[in-house]
Amino acid sequence: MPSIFIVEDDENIAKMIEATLSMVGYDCEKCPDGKEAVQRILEGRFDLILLDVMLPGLDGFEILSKIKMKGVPVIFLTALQDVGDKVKGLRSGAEDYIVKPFETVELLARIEVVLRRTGKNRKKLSYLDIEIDLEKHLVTKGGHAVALTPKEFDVLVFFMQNLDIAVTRERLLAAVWGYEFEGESRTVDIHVQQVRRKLGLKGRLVTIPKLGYRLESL
Amino acid sequence: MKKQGIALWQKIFFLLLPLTVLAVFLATQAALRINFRETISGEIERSRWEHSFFCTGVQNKLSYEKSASGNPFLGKEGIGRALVQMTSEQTANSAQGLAVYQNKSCIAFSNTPFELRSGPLLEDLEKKPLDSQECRVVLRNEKNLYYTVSASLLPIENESYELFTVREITSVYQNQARAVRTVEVFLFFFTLIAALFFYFALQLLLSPLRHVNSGIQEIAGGNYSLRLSPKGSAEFRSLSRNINRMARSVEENIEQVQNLADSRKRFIDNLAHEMKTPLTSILGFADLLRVKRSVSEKQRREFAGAIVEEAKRLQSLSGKLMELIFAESAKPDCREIPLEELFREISLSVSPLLARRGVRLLVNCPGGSLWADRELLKSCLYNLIDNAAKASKEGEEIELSCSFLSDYVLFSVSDWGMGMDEKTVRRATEPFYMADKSRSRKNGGAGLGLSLCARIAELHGGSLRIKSKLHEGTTVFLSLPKDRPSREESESISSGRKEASNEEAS
Repeated sequence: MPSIFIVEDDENIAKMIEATLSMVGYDCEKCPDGKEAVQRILEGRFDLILLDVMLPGLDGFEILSKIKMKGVPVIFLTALQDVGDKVKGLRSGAEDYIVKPFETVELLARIEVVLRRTGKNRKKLSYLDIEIDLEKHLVTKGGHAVALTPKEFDVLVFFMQNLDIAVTRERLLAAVWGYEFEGESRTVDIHVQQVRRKLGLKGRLVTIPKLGYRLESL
Repeated sequence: MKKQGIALWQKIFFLLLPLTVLAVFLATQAALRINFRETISGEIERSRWEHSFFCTGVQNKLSYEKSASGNPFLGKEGIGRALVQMTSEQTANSAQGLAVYQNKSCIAFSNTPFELRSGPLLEDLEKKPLDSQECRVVLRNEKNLYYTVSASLLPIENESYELFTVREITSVYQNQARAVRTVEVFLFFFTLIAALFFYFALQLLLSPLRHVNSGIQEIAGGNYSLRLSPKGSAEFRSLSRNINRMARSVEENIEQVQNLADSRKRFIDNLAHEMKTPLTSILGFADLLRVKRSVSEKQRREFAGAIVEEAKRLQSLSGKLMELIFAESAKPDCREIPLEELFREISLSVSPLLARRGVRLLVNCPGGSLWADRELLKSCLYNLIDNAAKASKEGEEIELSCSFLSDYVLFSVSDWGMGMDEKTVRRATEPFYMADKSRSRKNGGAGLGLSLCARIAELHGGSLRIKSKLHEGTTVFLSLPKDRPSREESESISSGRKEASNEEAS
């Protein structure tokens, strides 16, 4: 599993992020101090860094400029909603930024996107006898290929990446169809039903009233 | 300036140049005229003189003739002959013309360009006949030539003859015409030279105006730190100085507004950060509880505990913010407060806080009373004691004391806890400044307590001073004016508060 380094001075936020990430199985390390963080990033081997902007010692931008040559993708965590800060963050080499406060699943989705882009995420996903080859865009169940439409494929991947996590229809819509999609949540329901039927996931891909869906492990 | 029609230099130029040229023109014309008149009257005098010379000549000649012929009476014919001979002799070597008349008929003439007893002279003679001693001279223009014609009576042997002489003075008129032309040429060149002179003089004199103008343009363009160098005449120097004064005050005002905007932005940024940090934890943990399929008992306690902790932090922040807003907007309601009563109330309200931390409060009350806003003062002292308690370890002591100085009432809150370094002391009253964020947050601090205390002190016209040494403890002095503030003073305090709040914008 990819290892993620959390640089955040607020203890509770750091704890919350760690709990969120370990829920889907990422390895996490935390650090509350800027200078110490630079040291540990340069010495360690991380796949992704979550970097708070306002930090004691060194701020996020300064840390980023010091660890650039390491080539580790960085996502900024910021309480500032200024567009100016966004541009500064992305221009200085961050992959993405996420504005506090954020939802659990949104954080996971952003991380997934960045890991996929930098090629550090999982190439294969498996769940029971279902296997997904992300590179070949192939789904097999019990060794036999299952034909899925591209959207159904994305829906399945999203559920398997967020195993045991309740996913709201809005979140699924945003992750698979994109933020700009203005379709109805019925579209989501239809695709989920298709995925459930084609892969025999009845009783596993469950509907949670007033919330959304969850793919549950054994 | 160029866009607004005629420029100032052009106005001055077109006003001054014609005036100068006209003045010079009139002066030269007057000079020419006076000179001409004098020349003419000189010529007339000369004609008159020459005429009398002729008269004398004629008389002498006649006397000579008489003595030569030995006859005292020449008779009419004899006189006539003598006159004819004389006229031709007299005029032989001169440009003068001469004619003698008797009873309006010409007896003798020589070298006359026209009939002398005619024209304006004749009219003049008819109006006023000559008397015996008179020599009359008139000017006459004949075929573009100018003459003086002189006339006088010549009595010979009881007969009255009229003697006319004529002299050409055309050259005088020609000289005059030449002089006029010369003056015209002079005037033409004078106009050119004057125009050039005025142009360059005006450019030179008004160049400070352009300098000032371009300076103002630059200042108006936003370069408020520009200062003009005083150049040119006294008016321009004073103009430059006044513009500099204006620019300076504009610059100062802009700076003030900028500082105000900066500190407002800093305050908002800090506030956003302080609000979003607990919110992030609350939302994150709550979301985890919502979406996670199974939450262990340990996790549930941990998550919920964090949520409660962070929510309390938000609560404390909003409480402190409300107090700060109240202190910003409220006018202190000053009343006389007995110190003992005040200290009793404070001890009571801080006792749960002290009990929780296991810290003891020593109160040193000298008695007496002071003028202050009761609630604000209590809030201030509560905050100071709260800070002292947070800095102290269990079992340590805090001292609250008060002493009366000449003009001030001096409160002090001392602890013997962790203390602060110099940098922290300097920044302690900045809103949202926290020496140790994680520790402050654990204690529910938002970094607003001391800035609230400083504001309350300011409201009362007093001040807050911090003395601290790392690991040795801290004493905070709150000094308030002893006397009841008079009406004007309290107003000036409240307006001073506004200014102060503008400066700090907190």
